Amino acid sequence: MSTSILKSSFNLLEGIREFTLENGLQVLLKSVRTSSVVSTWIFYKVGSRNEKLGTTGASHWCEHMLFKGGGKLGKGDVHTLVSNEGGRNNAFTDHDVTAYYETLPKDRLDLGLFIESERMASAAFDPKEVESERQVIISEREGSENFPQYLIREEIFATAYHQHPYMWPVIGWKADLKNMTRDDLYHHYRRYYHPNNAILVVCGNFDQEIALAEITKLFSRIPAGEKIPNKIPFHELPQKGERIIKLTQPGTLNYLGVAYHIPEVTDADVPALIVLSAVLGGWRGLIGFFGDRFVPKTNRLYKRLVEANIASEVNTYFPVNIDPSLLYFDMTLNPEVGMKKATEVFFSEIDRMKDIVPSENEMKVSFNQIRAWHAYENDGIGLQALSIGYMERIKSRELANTLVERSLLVTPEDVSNVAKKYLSEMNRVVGEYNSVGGVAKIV
Amino acid sequence: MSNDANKVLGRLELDRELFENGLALLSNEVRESETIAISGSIKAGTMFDPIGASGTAELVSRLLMRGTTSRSASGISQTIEESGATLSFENRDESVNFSARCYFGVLDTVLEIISDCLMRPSFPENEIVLARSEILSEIKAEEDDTRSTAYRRLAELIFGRDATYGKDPLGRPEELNRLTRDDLVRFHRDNYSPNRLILAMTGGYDFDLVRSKIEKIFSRWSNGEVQKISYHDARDLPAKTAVVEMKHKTQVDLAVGTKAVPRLSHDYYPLNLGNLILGRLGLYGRLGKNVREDRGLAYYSFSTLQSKLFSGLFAAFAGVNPSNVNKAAEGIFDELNRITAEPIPQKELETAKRNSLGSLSISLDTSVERVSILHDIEYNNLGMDYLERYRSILDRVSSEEILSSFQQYVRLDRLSMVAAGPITDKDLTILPLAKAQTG
Repeated sequence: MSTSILKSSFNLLEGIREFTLENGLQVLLKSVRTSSVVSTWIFYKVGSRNEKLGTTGASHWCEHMLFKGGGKLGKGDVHTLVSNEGGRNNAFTDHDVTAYYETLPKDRLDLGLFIESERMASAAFDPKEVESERQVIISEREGSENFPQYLIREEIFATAYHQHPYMWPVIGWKADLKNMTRDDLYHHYRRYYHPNNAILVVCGNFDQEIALAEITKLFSRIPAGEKIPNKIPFHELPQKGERIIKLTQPGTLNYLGVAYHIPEVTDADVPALIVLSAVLGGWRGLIGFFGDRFVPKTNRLYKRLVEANIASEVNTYFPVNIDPSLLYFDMTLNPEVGMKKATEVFFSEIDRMKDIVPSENEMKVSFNQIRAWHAYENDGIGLQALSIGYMERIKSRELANTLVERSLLVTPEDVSNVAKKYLSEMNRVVGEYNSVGGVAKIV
Repeated sequence: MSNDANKVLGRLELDRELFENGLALLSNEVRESETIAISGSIKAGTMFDPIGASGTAELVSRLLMRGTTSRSASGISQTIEESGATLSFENRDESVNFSARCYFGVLDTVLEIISDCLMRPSFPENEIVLARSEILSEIKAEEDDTRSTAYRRLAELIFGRDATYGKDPLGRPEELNRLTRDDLVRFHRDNYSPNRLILAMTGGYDFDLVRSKIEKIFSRWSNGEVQKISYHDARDLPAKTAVVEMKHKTQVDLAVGTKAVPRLSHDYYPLNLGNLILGRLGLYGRLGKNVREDRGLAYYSFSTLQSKLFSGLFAAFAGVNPSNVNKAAEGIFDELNRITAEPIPQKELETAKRNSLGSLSISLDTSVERVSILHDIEYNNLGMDYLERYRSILDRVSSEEILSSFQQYVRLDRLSMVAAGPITDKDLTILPLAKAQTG
């Protein structure tokens, strides 16, 4: 079968209108009148990138505290109010952003806006609730610590950066979680949670004029805050050589993680790096928060590692971050295969990426997967709002469309060139997780 | 309850076709969509594993995309990926489920591949070696995972290690290693047939056109003499408690549970609404409020009701620091005692009903969730008018029914419990039986 490059009329940005309130709140409205829901998202321009040692994890902890009441909202009210309507709500914190959402029946836009305006203006940070949440967050962290893949990733990031806050996990270091005070958290909240440091996105079936009037009524009363510079004063210097970390823990399997420094997402090399990532490890979307069980198998790493029975699984993660970040790979090694063999094969495939330009077929598969996943990861009102707001926070809402369209113009030589430029020994961090046996005893 | 949500459910246009060979197709056309989502299943899951050959269904399911009589493994992946499509198969306890996404222009190709994988897998020896190795690796990963270990061990305690819902779908290494290509061919011949196949689809297409495509592609498949569907369950087992010591882990996963009801049981809806209140609503319902919000013990504490064709599992979970295991267990037991002793207040019940109706309507917003709901309607034989009836189904559930169904199925003296993580049996001092209310 011969397949050409997919054509698509999907346009994430169609029909978006932008407004800015006097207090600086940026508002993006996208009406989809065929939908039965409305999704309200607010993106704060704060994440672990804005933290410092001693209070790592403050952004994520603040996110938890915004479910604990304040203003007209009591503790737990957010969940109750949304549940009463059959809606969905949640929040997430990442390196560059903290986001909250409510997806509700189309006639309840008022509820999503009310919740977010109260959160922005009046979160309480009750000291008793701060203490109660401390153990919840430590428990969240400890749950992750149970997974070798988490431990290796945490070590790799901590090793890859010497200055930049991307070095610590979004959830924070455990010592900081034990010691941070209520005032530390409240200060973080007050500094970053204000209208001129936020983007409000509403997507779904609603009348834009009515929505704008409601937004103005609820949010205009909140005063603007201190202007937060988007740049942070950390510039990571290039590595002077390969960095290697080795973990030795009880366990049943060995894991390998490898990361390469790549530039910020606005760099001209990024479209070629996206295609490189697809050729090497397959593609599952730009945001990648909501994937499915699909495992790409035509890519080079799957063929060399999984089909050759060296690894049972290999994953590639392409970052969409504000500052230079890490192209990250992890593998679960088959029990009979040693770490040495696995690393040799992995790096030989990386070297092939520099030496052998992608074939026409590899380019076609990559292009069609990149094109198709742009539609798949915007399936439904909630995901479209997420995509618009997330990209607006990182650079601009056009970013997803731009990256997809520019990726489709990349040549095989471009891919080979960025492979030579970034996939070097000097530029990488290697993390080995070596298990030593004897793990479980059933009583 | 919201009339809007009810209208949304009632408006969803469904088409159904039952083909001569038994294949059932359920469809929801959404003309404005460029893409199509497919969710399907074939009843050929772990419950059909021959005795002493655990993991057969799993291994067969992993080989479906690894070669057919007319396509190689790499040819299948190449065709799917170059089309911008996705396709994956997943073995479960009753069925092998599959999902796909694609643009309309390549729908024929994707359907051809799905049919080829289901009808004509060739089970190449080299692919058997690889797939087996993958499963063995996953078994090892599961042994080192506190969450999976707690869940799997709980299912074993409740249903029995060899029972339909107690078995680990991945199988046992020694039995997996004995499986031959002939075993897999035989399993496929005995269990894969069109009258066990369901296809649900949604997206931008014309139903009549799609129906004729499917008829053309799948009508070549006729029913052979397939293995009879039989449910195997151990007799009611006494409640037990187990500790799985995993000293190197940081957190303990705690799981408590018991046998519940099948999906079509008249007790399903009272139990499901009760479960929503107990461990799902908002941030994990009453369990989340007690264990997470009020006691600050755990990041997650929730409950689940998994109602299948022949039986079901009710379970509650928490992930906690080892020093808090007994407090978390106490919180869970308090809530279980409460829901089996006191009727749900009317306001709380109404909230749960509104949530259940509304969340079903909101699920229809994404094609992936919508098609999954369509599949469940057909799989569980809920009827084409299920979405329209959903509100009246909820309306009929009373607090008294929830109370009596929980008293019947979820009493503490019937609960088994597992703790997996850095803990010894001496550390676990609060057991379900001791906390069961009497009188």
